[in-house]
Amino acid sequence: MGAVISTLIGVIITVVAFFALFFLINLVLDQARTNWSLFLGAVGLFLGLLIGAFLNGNWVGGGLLTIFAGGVVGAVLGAGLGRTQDLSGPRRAAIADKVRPWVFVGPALFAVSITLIIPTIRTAILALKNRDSSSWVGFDNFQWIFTNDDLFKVSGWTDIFGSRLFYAGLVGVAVGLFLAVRRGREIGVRADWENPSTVGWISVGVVGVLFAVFTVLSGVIWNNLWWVFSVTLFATGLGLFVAAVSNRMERGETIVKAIIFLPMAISMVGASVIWRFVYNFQPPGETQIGALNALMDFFGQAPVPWLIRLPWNTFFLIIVMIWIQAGFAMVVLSSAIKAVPGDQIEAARVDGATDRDIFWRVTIPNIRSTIAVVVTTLIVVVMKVYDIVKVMTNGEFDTNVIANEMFDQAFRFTQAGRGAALATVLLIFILPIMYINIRRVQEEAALR
Amino acid sequence: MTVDTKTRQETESPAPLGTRLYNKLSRGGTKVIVWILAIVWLVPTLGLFISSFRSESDIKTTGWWTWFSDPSVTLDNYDFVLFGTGSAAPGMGDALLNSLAIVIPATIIPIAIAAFAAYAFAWMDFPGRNWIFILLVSLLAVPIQMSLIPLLQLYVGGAHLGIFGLDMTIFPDLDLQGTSFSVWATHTGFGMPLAVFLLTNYMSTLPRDVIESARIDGGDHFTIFWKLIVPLSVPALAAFAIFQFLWTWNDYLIAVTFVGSAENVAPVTVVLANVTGSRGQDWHILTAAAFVSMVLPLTVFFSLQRYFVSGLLAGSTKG
Repeated sequence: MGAVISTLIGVIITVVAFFALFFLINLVLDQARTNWSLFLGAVGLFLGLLIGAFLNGNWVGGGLLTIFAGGVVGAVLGAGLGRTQDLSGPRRAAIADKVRPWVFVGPALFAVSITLIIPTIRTAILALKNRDSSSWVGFDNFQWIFTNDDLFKVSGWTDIFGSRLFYAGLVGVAVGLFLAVRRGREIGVRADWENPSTVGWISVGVVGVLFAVFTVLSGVIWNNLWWVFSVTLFATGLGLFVAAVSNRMERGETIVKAIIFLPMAISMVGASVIWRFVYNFQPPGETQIGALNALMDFFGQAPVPWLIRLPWNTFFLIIVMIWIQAGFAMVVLSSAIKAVPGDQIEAARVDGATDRDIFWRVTIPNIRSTIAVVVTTLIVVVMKVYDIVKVMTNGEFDTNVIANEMFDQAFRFTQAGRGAALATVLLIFILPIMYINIRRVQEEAALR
Repeated sequence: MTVDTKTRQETESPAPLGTRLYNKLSRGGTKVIVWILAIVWLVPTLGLFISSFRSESDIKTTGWWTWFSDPSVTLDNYDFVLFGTGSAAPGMGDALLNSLAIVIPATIIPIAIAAFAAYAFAWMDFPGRNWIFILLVSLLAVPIQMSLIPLLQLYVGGAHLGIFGLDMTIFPDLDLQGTSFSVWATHTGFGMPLAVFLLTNYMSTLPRDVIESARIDGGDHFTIFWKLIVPLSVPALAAFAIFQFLWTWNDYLIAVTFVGSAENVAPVTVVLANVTGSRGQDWHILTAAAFVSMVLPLTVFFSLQRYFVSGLLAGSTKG
């Protein structure tokens, strides 16, 4: 308890000191018009303190005297300079107004520089160096990633063509395309993408094809792509479904939404414990205490060791993430659906459209941009998945992902170069999303 | 489905009987599916919750669903995980306090810093304003893995620069690894892009004439910020606070990187993960420990859900 109270007091002191300092700086800036030497003296004090601390060798560690002396010298010099300068009042105020915005954004820029900008650049550089960063190795670390069977296995890819799932998927896509063209001809367009059977067949087909690929190709990178694809598709799909249906429910909307949303508040470590219990496996013949194997038992099936049964164990981990993220998709999409203009829906209803038609031809086109936001957000979140894999399998049994491999290489095997290269691969995967986000913010700014 | 001759009369009960019947059936069907989904979504958490109140022997010999026919409740598990002593006890009581010591500064300090920056981005004019804002927003998607190695090096050894044979200290070696400061300072930086993004977007929607008339009345920027902007921005501040609270409380990666399992600093997520690793089949401990780690975020979440949702809607680009 003592630690918490002292932390709390520390936080209060820090925040109050921060605000007080801020208030003082603003006061000085406001004085610039009337008292120019006070302004320059304060600037000198600040620079003097900084130079003093820097010359100290180890900042505060080298004693306060140098810093103090630097501050006094700077203040005197600044104030002196201020007396000799002859500037008009408005000109002084203009200079102070130029400085002020930087005082406001300065602390935030400092914080992100230290924790995000500089480290990101440094990691990109470390990725080109060896394990203790003592010499340059070019792209060796990246070559190691993409030629290592544990990380990126491509040999045996022909097995894809031996997978029934693959062909089933192809059939699904073909049926979907056929339906799209046929329905399109009926309503006079080249292909109709806005009806459930087209979208349904094509999605099921794509899932089949890609799952066939991901179950055949193993390795950290492929696993990550499997994660991103599955969570994005299923969490968005389920979220959309629940949002669309529960928005129309007279009773139980709040309860259903709260239940689906609840996992968002649970840490991924906590969620992993919850699902390890669901997947719990006891040898055949013993009482199954995990819900899923008890269900298998109930139907007379042998219990399954879900977390070590290749290659689907990765998908059983993915389910945990879908369980967490569906609530996020649901909440965001639900508010978008509620914002669809009512007269459009009413007009469609007057034309005799069914609920299903309204959903596919009015609602979906209206919330397309929100779906894009949900998808991009999920890709960013899922790409760096770490906790679930770490806690549930520790990356064993072919379930490893980039972030876990990165942590192990960097901090367990002291391979800074390889760890940095893996982190950089994550960043490269995310770059297209960053581009999309930037475009969106620019568009929003243009609208303001 | 003819649409050509509609009279006022018909629009009052517009859809033909077939459509209405179809709608009724499909509505009923989809509602049933949604309720089934809700039950499936709830069962895993419910199983954990019920199990945490069952005795060790009960948990290990029977499924938690038998509790409904044979209910018995014990608080022994909670007593042990929170206050138990000895090497076998997880010490969740201390971990809770460690978590608070990280989460409180990691939530309050970024708000203080970001509010100033957001005010400048929304209401001040300076060269490069848009570009800096876009840079900040693009940082939302940068994977935190990009920062871990250099930050750990910084906390362990400081930053030095060798110029002309001189060793210049840019950042002193303060031996920060294993302190809660290293964790909350990192969270402060990582939370900054979202905080600035949310608050800027919110503050720029505040009415322009209110702020301009305050300027004309001679209000300086600090007074306007403090007396006008901050009170008006409470919803956005609250939304970010809840976001950041949940994020830092539930974080595992940053905590395990910078404090590892140092006993006097490790937060609940780290302790829970360690227990899962070392005592993965002791479900009486795991279930209670997991639930202890969830109580506070769940309470905050459900009591302040409104703010959380508004934050989610405003800033769903958080990386």
